[in-house]
Amino acid sequence: MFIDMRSIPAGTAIETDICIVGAGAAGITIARAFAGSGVRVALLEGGAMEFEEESQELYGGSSVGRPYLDPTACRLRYFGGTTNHWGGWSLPLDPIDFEARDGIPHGGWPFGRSHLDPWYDRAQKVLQLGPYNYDPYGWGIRRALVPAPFDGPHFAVKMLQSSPPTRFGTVYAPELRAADGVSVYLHANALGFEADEAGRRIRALRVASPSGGQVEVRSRIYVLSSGGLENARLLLSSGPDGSQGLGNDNDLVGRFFMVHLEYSAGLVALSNPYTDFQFYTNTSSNGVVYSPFAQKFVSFIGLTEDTMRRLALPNLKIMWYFDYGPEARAIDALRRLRNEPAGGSAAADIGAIMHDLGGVGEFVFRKALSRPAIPVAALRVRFSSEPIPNPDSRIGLGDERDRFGMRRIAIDWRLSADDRRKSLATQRLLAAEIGRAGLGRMQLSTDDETSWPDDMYGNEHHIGTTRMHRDPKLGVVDENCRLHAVENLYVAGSSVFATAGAANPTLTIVALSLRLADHIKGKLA
Amino acid sequence: MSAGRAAYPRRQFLKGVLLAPIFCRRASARAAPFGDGSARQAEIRTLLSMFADIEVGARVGRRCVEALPAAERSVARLGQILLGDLPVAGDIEQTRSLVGQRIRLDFADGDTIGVDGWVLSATEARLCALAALAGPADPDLYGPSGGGYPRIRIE
Repeated sequence: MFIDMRSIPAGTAIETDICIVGAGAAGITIARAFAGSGVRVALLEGGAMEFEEESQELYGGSSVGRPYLDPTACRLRYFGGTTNHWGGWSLPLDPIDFEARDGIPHGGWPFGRSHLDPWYDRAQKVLQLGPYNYDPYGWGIRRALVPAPFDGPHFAVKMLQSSPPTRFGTVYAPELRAADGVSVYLHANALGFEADEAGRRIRALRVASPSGGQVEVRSRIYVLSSGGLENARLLLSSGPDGSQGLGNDNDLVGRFFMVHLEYSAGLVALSNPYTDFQFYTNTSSNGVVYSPFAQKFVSFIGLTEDTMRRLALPNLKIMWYFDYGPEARAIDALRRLRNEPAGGSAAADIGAIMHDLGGVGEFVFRKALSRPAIPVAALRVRFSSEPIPNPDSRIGLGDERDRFGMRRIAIDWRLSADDRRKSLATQRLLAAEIGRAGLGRMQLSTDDETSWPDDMYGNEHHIGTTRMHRDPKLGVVDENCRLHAVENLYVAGSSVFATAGAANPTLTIVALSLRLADHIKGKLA
Repeated sequence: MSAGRAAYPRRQFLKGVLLAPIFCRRASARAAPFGDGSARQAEIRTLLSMFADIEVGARVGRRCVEALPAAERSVARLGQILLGDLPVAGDIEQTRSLVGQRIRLDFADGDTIGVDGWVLSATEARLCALAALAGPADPDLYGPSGGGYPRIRIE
């Protein structure tokens, strides 16, 4: 059943068993888990079934730290949430992402990857993915065709699966509309939780309709699933003005705000422009379909767990664009071989040096003669790096208020010097491995450990603002995603991640949501 | 520049094994490896003859010179370093092959040098620097076709 909050008289009290705040991937997944179970669910969505400017504007806020994306542009506020514009890339976090490890401070989840595997398996179906198998060699990639630097010891081929992408609002609305016991409230703008005097139990959630009329939702259990920015905002906004908010006794709510770091890592001049890249099935970058599975999975390069652990490097995804353009003419230098001076571009000169000194030229020439293919001048390498958990990077509340009187978010995104140092160490390691293997030579986008490449930005994956930890002094929620300080309030979504890993977060969000639903079922039984 | 990795004693050992037989031959063939200017000049000529186009090597090399420690910025010192590591025989293809292996070992060891962002092996960077510093104008090194570079005597 779908209900527009505008049709509910002000002052109404809605009684339910589970109140879910936010109808994105997490909220819809949890609501579905209770469909027809006899448990009453109220799923609150601040927006409508379609995009509305008036609703989206409520996501506005300010950036007070390192410049960050417009918060009205990097998420969506209507039924289905940000799945209405996500790209569909799905993969689990790596086992190492769950570990506390040297050189990556504040890491460590309360459980390991193997604990989460059963829910990852179930999440595959929710996201309309294939089998829970992320071994690229199980998807038709032939190890023999993987160039040397990408088959260990430092780098390895990895893969993600491509969801259609599942638009939760579209795909699951019919099911929820028909589900017994599930009521979806649209235009239901959560304003704040009301706790009992001891602050240990939520007794109501205040909700406003666009007209400003307010109702209360009284529930046995509450689940906050409004996204990585709004989850922190609503907790910080709960309680009287001037208070530190709800579940924030240790000043942790909103801290450890993380996003994946996207940037150009460099240019690789290939020693062999006819290098076989069949293993690299990123069809979105080159338009060439190498594999019958190419539309269903995307391969990329990552660090091996051993190297991440040994060198204390964060996780990352490495991808590239094939460059056939005129500005990277290493191939020309290679083709000219000994007969003609290189054209003067740095890439061409380096290509000539590789040929002369590295002993690759004759091989290249033979390869070119025996295997006609599209020659690749260069690879333009991009990194998507895991940020190091940083308590100084945080979501807070600004002075400006929205039309409901709620303070807007102030995004104080920060990176540490170690983020850049380790990023550059990884760039250098990749360059050295490419050279060692004779694949080519790499020009780093910048070789300065105090500055990022010009195009670096933090992406739309909002992580860590209500982080999970068994110790209330180190985490906002416990291992069951329940607020340490509050008996009946849970948090779902990427805000509970203790580390970001390199994985796109949606699969983990859904897996954790399925796990949370199972936990709540146990509590209600 | 280094990739920030720990040293690999095994690879250092392999370098030694790789080069040892030819070092032995060189040592026995020369009574004074660095004391004979004409012999060293011939070896450097062999090294530089690996460049199909010496001007390209020199062009890259001019940037390499800037990236090298000041103490290495001379033909004499670069020659000493390179010839201390590299076997130089009359067979240019054998030399080329060994230089290629040495370059790969440099990368494996993280023994690299950043030149305009390009991560080059220390060996190839030094060879390019040598090309830049020696200069193609020297007919003793490059034959009569070079031009534009100052003549540098190899001491």
